[in-house]
Amino acid sequence: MFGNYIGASNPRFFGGLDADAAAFIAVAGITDATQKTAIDNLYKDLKGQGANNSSYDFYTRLTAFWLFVGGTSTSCSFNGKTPSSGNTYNLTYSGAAPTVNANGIKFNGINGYADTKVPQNLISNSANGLSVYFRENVANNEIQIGYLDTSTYKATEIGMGYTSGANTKFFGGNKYDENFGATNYQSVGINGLIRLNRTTSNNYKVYRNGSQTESFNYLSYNNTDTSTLVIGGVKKSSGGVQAFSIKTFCYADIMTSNSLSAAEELVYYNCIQAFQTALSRNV
Amino acid sequence: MKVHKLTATQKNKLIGIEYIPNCTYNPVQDDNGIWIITSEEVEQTTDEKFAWVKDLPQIEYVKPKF
Repeated sequence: MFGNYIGASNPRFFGGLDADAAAFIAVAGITDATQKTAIDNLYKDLKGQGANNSSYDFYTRLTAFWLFVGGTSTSCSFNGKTPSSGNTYNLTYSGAAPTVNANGIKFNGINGYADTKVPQNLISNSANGLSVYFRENVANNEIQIGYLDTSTYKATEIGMGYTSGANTKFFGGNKYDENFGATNYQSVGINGLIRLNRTTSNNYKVYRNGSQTESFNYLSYNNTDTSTLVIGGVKKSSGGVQAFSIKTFCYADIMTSNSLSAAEELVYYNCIQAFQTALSRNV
Repeated sequence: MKVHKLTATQKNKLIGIEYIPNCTYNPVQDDNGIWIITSEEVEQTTDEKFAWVKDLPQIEYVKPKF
């Protein structure tokens, strides 16, 4: 309905809705008034025009993001960035179809995942970001989003909540070797918004709920493999997916060539958390 | 949890095939190296060309170590 419309840049055209929010609501078939308001407020926040963010334009920096709202696997598949039925980064599913409800989307931990269609080689070696927001505070040896070069074991991935001895650790990489983080999350928790953030070629960080929890001084590496990142596991350069996730995802994003400052990380979290709170699925 | 056992030949026939709209089969190996698909994939198969998956033997799923 709103796929190719005139006047899309004028929010008043849609009765006050942000034009991109209106496009998402239309393509995803959202009818619930609470969900519509939450989506509209999120778009305004991401653009620096909302109640939780009037300073930063995150929307332009995002390559793709997925809201996991609407209650069906189809409604959850649409990329929120310039949404349309033909968007390059709309999700496709594989394995057992996900369980979808008001809390988001959950895979089975055996063979279910969603392909983001974002090739790993598009992700910059000097500025990038990935996020997942999930609900369960349950340690499990799984990757929530990512890609793994199985010849070098260098990865761009988030695996929050690995068991390492008596500790619960971050496991992952950002254009570098898979590594455990230093923080033990056993008492502080692993759920919420987990972000991987590379701001320079020789350092990347992990944030949980807007606060930095890890910092790695690792030089990024070049890799021309065009394999795509997946949500719900990790895509292997050799083919297939492994380390399947059993988390309920409420949000995910990829910034292929932009990152956030420490101050922006907190504001970004506030935007995402407000969206989840409006949908009564915040943790 | 019960899953369904595949031969390597059967696995190759399913890779990349949509069994419901926007969702493909995904055969994976369990911890014993046996190719499997889930009961959900079997139960939701409606294409007669792939009706043979309904006859796949069931085995107990053994999660791969990672």
